[in-house]
Amino acid sequence: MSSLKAHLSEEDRHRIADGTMDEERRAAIDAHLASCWNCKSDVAHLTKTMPSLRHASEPTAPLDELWAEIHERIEQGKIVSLGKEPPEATPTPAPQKKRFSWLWLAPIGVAAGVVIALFALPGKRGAEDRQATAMVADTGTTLVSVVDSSYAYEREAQVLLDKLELQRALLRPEAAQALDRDLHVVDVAIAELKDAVARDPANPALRQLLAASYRQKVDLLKRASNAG
Amino acid sequence: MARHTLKVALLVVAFSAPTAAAAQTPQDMPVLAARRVSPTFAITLWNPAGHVRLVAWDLDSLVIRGRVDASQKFMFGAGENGVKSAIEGRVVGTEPKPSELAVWVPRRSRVTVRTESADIEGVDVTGSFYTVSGAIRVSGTATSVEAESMKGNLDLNANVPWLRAKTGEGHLLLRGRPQDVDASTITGTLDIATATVLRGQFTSVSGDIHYAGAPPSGAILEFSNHGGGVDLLLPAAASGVFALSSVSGIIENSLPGVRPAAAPRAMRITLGRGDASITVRTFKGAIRLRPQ
Amino acid sequence: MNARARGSTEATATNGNAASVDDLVRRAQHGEVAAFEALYRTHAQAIYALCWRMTGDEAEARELLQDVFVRAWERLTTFRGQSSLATWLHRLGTNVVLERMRIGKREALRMIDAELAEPESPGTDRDADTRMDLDRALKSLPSGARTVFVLHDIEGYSHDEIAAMTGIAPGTARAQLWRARRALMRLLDL
Repeated sequence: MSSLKAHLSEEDRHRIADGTMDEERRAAIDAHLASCWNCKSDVAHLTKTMPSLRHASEPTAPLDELWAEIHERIEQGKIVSLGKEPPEATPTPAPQKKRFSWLWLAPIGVAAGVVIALFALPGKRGAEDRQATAMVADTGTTLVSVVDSSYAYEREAQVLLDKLELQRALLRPEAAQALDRDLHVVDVAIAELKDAVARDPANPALRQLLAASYRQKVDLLKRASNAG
Repeated sequence: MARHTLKVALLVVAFSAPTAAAAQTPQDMPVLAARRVSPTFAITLWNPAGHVRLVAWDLDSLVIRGRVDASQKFMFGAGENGVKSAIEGRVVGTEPKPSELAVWVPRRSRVTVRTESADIEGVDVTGSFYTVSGAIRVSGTATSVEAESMKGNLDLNANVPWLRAKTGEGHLLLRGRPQDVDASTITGTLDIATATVLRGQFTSVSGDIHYAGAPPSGAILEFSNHGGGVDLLLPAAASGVFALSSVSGIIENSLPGVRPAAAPRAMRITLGRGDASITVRTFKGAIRLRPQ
Repeated sequence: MNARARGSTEATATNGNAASVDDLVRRAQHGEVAAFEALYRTHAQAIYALCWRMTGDEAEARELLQDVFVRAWERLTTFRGQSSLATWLHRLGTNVVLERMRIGKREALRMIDAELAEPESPGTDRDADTRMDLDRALKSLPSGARTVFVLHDIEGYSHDEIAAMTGIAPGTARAQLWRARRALMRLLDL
């Protein structure tokens, strides 16, 4: 065991005050402190003072004000913004067919419409709500989460599709063709996944895949709106 | 004398060659705009067709060099905190002809570039790059990169903490040293040829996804694909917990000496210390683990 | 991580029960903004405190808080629950602040020079008898030293973690921590 003849290094002093000095060295340090008043008083001062350095005040943020801005950035940013409230009894207009005149969408629209009808058609909402509620009773919150996500994504996608409809004339043919092709691929995938989720609502992997496909669709629509 | 003449001739040739080459380089293009700017300023750039190259440098200046087609006009506006520049057609509605721009920006600036078919190249530049059908190539070091295209190819070879990359049918190639990545295609192939991603979301609808390398310790990677396949090429030193599931696609494990716990449509494999988390989900695409 | 820094939010989460926090996270991951807002209200003060202490500037801390939660919304789907949400947010917040510091500052994280007697004054006349409070004292430290002190002594990161996050060599980080402590003690007449 070596004895310390010189004063303690700054590292040693702070390690003692921190309580992180290894045991092996501690004995030599203690021996030195017993005979060096200078080091002893400094280490004691550090040890006593450091806790008070850690008690910085807790600044208070204006959470409401900042949340408003965060929410707005989420809404306007590149990430999907889903409405504040969960889907209500108020029906969401279903007939996307009215908005689109592209014939190739028809079979997709029918397939998607069948699935959407389970959740969104006006006038039939009550029956489907009861059906959905009955399924919720069996599967807990699973189906409600799927319905919430479907509604929210479909709503967001519809807003973007409406906007694109207005911009369509301004889209270059190349961009419009790319959009149509990709939208077709994504909508087919979403339709397949919705069918699968309806058959197996408790499957978390299916829900994740459906959410991923929805995100792809919304991202695609946002990308297309930048092409105008 | 003849020897001296020969030496001079050789020197002339030696110095001419770079000059000749320089005539092809961006530095040779006429200056369209030059301005002193703040080190953290923002630039927005629009060039419908041709090529845009952005390079970061250690000067607090913006320089734009370029060749603008006679049918186009170069527009430039500057404010306190930012600059906007655009190539616009002289006659509205005409097909844009290619124009070339080379832009030097301060290293800490932020760029937003949009094109229709023009290719975009960024070197050490932070910002957003968008094109409808052009290609995007990013390299060097940046603090964040967003690259999006409707159908163009993306080649991202940057040292960057945060990266977001999206394309439709284009090929998306990830290289360099990104850490936090969100990358997706619709039908295009997604190739991840880097093993530095700590947080990664890789998604496609029907394009194949290929990942090659050993996931770093603590990485959390998610692969989602509807109809396309997911191939993981793993070296012997790879370590992680791999949770693979497919609704109707096949799951194949070709890693030697590995016997995973498997259910009909799911497989779980722990390699090494298992200190990375890799989740792969497909609807009907195949999932394959292969040795690299 | 420092129990003090994380304990309050963890305790709140525990009081709210872990199952409900998991539920909020799951719902937010599915895109429910109301659930994300609930998470924000639980954790925002701690993140704001982190941003404020690291930057020493209230306005910048507010901006950074927004950046952190917008980024958290973007990246929430990658949160797998391997750490607590508070830890995940804290790490994300630290990275956001450090990125901003790298972009915004002309010089790199400034350090306390071994020869420097005291860090620069905050710019106001100080009566010799006036004792600065810790927050003002922190603000007067050079950015690099302040960063190391806040991350180690207040937020509880290890030197190796700080080195990984900031790019400051571990030995340099240790030395800056000691000098920061000494500087604060002098400024606070402790």
